[in-house]
Amino acid sequence: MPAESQYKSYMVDRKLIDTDPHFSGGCPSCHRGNEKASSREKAHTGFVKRPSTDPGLCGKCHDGIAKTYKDSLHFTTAGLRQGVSGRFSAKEQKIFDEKVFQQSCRSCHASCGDCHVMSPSVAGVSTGLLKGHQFVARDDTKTCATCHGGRVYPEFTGDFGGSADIHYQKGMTCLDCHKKAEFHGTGVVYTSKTDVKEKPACANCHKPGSEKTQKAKTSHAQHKDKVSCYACHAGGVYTQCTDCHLGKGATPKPGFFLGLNPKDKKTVTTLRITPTVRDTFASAGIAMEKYDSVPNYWGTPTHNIKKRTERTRSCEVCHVEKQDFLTKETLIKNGSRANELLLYNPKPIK
Amino acid sequence: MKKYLSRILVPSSAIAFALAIFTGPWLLHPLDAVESGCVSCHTNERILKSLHSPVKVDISEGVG
Repeated sequence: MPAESQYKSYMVDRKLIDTDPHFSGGCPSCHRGNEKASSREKAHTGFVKRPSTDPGLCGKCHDGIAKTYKDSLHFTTAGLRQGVSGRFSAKEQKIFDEKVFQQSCRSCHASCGDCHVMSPSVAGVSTGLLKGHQFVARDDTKTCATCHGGRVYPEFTGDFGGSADIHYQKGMTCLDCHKKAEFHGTGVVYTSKTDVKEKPACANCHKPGSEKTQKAKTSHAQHKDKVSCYACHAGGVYTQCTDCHLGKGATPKPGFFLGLNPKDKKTVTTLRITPTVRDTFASAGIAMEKYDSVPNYWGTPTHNIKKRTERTRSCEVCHVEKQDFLTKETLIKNGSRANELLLYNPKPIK
Repeated sequence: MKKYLSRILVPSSAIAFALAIFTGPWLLHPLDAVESGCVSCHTNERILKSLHSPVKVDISEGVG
């Protein structure tokens, strides 16, 4: 959006003020500030930009959702803490919680309004109000895509390169797979997205046994619980984030890696490089004493799914050519020693 | 009864005078009466454009 048009994203739809009960208490009931002031500066003194960072505000009416949302991963961002904690000693964990987590990771948590009122701000930039301050149920492109626009969303739409995810091509959006309960929470406190019961699963729609061809039926039965769906149906290279240093962000590069899922070493899946390098937290005084306990690759559900790929066409791509499987030689340089535990050598076809 | 009512009726000129005294200040400032300063600026494109200062973009942060 050109700078001279940015003001448009803060225009409020006049009609809503008279008709939407959210406005019945007046602007200051949520945003504070001084509505009687005569200048912009004075009017915004004490102004609260994102009032719903306290879910209790919305909880005055939406009690049930606010109660579970404050324990959900989008609000707690506990997944980010969990992702790196395995690398810290107890002393380092304390420093991380005090110096890094609150100021950095937690600053990314989503308020109710970040999904329902105004596009969240990333690096200080927001595309503004979704629909003139209307409280909307969903607007994936302006909400999900803003925070998850580094890797997930461009993969999904094909903007990263390659073809768009087949689900996107069929007109599906984020919330067709990721259901409300996953975002609003259910009251169960999770520390990782992979533990969330309500997370999407391909088999929710694509029931095993309902395949149209015998080849697909056999292949799915043979690889069941040994290979993830993405390992064969990822459409091509996906974003890998490397070289993250505190406050400087990661460098994205395309790549495709297959190996054992660090969370379930019985399953081969698509892996994504996690951007924590040895000196990521050095400026905060954290050397990561247990850096080598956690691999630099995580199992990832790629968002560039295709029905037919090189892997679905031929068994040889994996079982003979061993294409894209991580090897000692292809592991990232100076990485964690735990990376070697993810190497998998596909068995030859009998 | 009719006779009694005619005795307590107030002349219309007196009603108009009273209304002018009590509602005059609000009638003279209609915007203040019906909407806050927030609404008058955030629903008026001309005013908002003149007041808004574009945000400086900092693209150094990584995103997920």
